[in-house]
Amino acid sequence: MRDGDALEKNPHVSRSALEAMHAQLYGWALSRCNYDPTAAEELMQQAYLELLTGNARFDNRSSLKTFVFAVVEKLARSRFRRLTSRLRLLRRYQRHAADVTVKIDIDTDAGRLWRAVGNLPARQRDIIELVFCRELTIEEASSVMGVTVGTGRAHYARAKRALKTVLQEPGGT
Amino acid sequence: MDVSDEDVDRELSRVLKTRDPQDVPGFAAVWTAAERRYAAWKRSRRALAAAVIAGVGVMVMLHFATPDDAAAPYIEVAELLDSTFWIAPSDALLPVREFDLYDELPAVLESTEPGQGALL
Repeated sequence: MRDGDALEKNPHVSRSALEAMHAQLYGWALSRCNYDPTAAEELMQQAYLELLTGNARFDNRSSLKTFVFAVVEKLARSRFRRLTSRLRLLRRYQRHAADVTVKIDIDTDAGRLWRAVGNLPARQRDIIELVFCRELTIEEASSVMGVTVGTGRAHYARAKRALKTVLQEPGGT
Repeated sequence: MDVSDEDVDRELSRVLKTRDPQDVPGFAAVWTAAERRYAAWKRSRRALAAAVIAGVGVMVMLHFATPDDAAAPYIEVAELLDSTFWIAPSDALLPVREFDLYDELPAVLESTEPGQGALL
């Protein structure tokens, strides 16, 4: 940690460490907001504000990445719940248009797998995203999601089983 | 088609990585915006603290400025009689209105004839 880099109200958090994980954190924030970039940026700002004010205080009990991801998750669940439900509603009404947009993807193997991930129950989808996209371990991902490691492992195993079935289907990779 | 766990892992990594956002807003921009909100938050906290301190100050001042009952001086009734007087409201008000109720009594009509000195 560079001198003067640590946050005033969060001495164990440095600006440079946050900068290093910014892109991955944005990806996580984006998926928390139904892939709405404006809402995701707002969520990121709010998460950084929580760290600056010390409302979310990191005390080295987990990795910084796990902690910051959990802050985003908690914020998304509380303050952005209304916003995300509105977006979900909007999405439902725009399903026809959305289907047309992703049709090209769905025809490919990658698109099939992506759609299968999208159809997973929320918890399973989250753990798959955290492990495979955000490069967290199952333990860290469970901590971010606020579930026990055992529950996290169960979600992970079920998700993998479902995705394996998709890959084994004719036309799969 | 037989797919191993490693195949699933590899395929998931490959596919999900391609879905990473390409247009990530710059860290500096997001951080600066958060810092701006932090500065506003600090200002509002300071204003709130100042308002609370001022409120407490006013309450303390009022408390000390208002004399206690125990500290209030006792005034003898005799002292008051020299400086005050009392007058009945009717004495004060009726002459001013030039309407004296005692001058004449209103005539009340008798509803029945008197019989043997008594009203029937």
